[in-house]
Amino acid sequence: MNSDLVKALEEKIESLEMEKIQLEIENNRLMQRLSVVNANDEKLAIMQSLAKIFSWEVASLTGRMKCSAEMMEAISLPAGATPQLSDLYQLIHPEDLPDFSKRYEQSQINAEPFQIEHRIVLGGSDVRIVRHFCQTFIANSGIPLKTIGLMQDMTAQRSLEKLLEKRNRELKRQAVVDDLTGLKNRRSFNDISKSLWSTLSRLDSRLGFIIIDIDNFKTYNDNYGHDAGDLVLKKVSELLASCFRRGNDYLFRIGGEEFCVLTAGGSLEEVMQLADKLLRVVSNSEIPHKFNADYGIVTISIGVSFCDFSVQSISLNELYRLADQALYLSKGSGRNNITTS
Amino acid sequence: MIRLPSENIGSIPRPKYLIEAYNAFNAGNLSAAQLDELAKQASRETIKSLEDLGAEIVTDGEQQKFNSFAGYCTHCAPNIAPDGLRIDFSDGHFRHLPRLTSGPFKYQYTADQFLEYTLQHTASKVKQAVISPSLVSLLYPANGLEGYSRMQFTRDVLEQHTREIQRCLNLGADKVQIDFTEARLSLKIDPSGELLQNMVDLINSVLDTFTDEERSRIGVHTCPGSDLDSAHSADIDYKYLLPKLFTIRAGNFYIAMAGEADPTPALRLIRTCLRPGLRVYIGVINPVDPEIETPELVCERVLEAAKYIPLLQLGICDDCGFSPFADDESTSREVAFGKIKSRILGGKLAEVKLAELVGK
Repeated sequence: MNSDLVKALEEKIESLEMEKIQLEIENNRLMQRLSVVNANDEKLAIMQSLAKIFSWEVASLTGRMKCSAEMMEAISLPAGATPQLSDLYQLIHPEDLPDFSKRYEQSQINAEPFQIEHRIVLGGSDVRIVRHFCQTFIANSGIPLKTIGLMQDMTAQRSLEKLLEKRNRELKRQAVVDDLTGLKNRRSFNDISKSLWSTLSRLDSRLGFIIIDIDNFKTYNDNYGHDAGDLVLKKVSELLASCFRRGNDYLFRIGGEEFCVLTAGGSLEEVMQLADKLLRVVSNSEIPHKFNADYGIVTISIGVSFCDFSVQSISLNELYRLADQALYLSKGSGRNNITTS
Repeated sequence: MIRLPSENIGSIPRPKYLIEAYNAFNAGNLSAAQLDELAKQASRETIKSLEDLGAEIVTDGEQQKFNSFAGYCTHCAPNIAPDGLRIDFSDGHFRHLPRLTSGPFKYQYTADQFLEYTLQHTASKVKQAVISPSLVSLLYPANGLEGYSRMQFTRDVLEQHTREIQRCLNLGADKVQIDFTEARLSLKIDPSGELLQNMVDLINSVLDTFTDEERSRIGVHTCPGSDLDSAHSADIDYKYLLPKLFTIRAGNFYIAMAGEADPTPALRLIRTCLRPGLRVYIGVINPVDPEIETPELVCERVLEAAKYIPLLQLGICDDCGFSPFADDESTSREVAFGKIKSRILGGKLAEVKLAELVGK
């Protein structure tokens, strides 16, 4: 072998070794980047698992999917299998599939991201509610490349929301309704009476203000006990509701044994007739109350005030005061009767 | 002794009478049957010319492929419009792919029909090119088709493409070459590489249905897309394409290289992508260049490639077809055959030089 050839080969070897070193440096750099990417992938997978998120990606031309571990489990495919778009479709509740597939097909054309809430069926029977976010990526020239999707399990949240909604409704009801009698409470009285007075006075209409008090109720409670007292309150409330049944009658329990009825639009005569009827039905119920002197049964006293806004204007407080005063007079004149101011 | 397989890629310029016939057909002055007859005549002439040049493997030079290397499957189809995806070339001209107007999609002509005819007219080994499913997939319109989804279309394309290759192999094609000229173009359309990955997946899904022996007879051709002496994607660096291209599970790769300003980085990259059992055909003839390469220049290019690619895995080819579109008159048949002759002679020269270098 001549010396030129040896020299040429040595130079070649040297240049190849330099190239090898450069490639190793590049390789190390890429391996470091790869390890960072892998670590990030791992973190992402953990976060998705914690957040109960199913993620997937579909290649538009082939329909092949890449799925997160949760998604693979959801579509019942073993790790390593190659899922297809049809596997996703099979997961979606049959009734919700037309909507989803329509939105999906549209996104293949306009690339607009969309989100839709629908049901999926896990394991053939476990129906879950998911919020599904989808985004299609389209290259120049309108060629769809891939669609990525995220499904978040909303089942627990939706159940909780329903429960909260129910509780809220109950709390709202409790805020304005008296638990024992089912009538509107004092808070509701304050709101409704002001609103009613304002409306009726503007319309030059009429407002009847009736206050009802159970006679000697304290002695009833003291002698028969609070449970029996509660039964009396409920009974009187029922009788009250049976007498004042019009849509324009508003019934309240405004104190311990004190009730109020606001009647809108009726005449004084009609108000008095209904009040009188109430007095009688309570008396006719003959609920024993031997400590109610003269009667021996549960009776009530009623005070009535009335305003015809077409001829006079009386403030709400004044109406209340007049009805209260009338009630006081009924009590003073032997109870179990009606007084109008 | 060193043997370097040498193959042409595809189209040979059509003779003048065939181009005129094609134009007459498009103008409605010639029937499809008459056009076919003239195309068959041109095929016979092309086969003969290649045999006379000493080509070890011949083709019909795509004389029967209308309207282009890609358009034969839609030639005369009733549900095709001419205004599909626009492809811009470096010299400012552009071409449109056909556009599907309704489903279903059905191949009008299949390459095995051309192969069958070629085999009847030669005793040489024959190679047949087929269009890639990924290019056909681009025929589906961006705004979709009512009642014919993209997925259904893709399934139809894959099924017909697979059958086309299978028939070519069964007929006895020595090689079946999938024309994947849109590979590099895909990176222009979508620099993220997602589209390329989709295309590679499509091709692999077809190749997976063949045996190892069959895959050793299947190749994939990629180039910057030459037409009318210009290209559509020569500005895309091979480094973005080759690693993904070599994940295609074919046995042969035909890679345009003669037109590269500096082929060394691409050749070096190919070396890192090679896996055992593959053969890589490096382009040593540039069809876009009007000058006919000398055999010495070809030899030089082969020797350069041989620095990076083991000889047992090296072959040579043209960079691209000479006239991929049926109406192309930019290159004459004489020039094309001259270039092919240089490839054959230059390859032989390289075999001798390489034998000297390795001492055999």
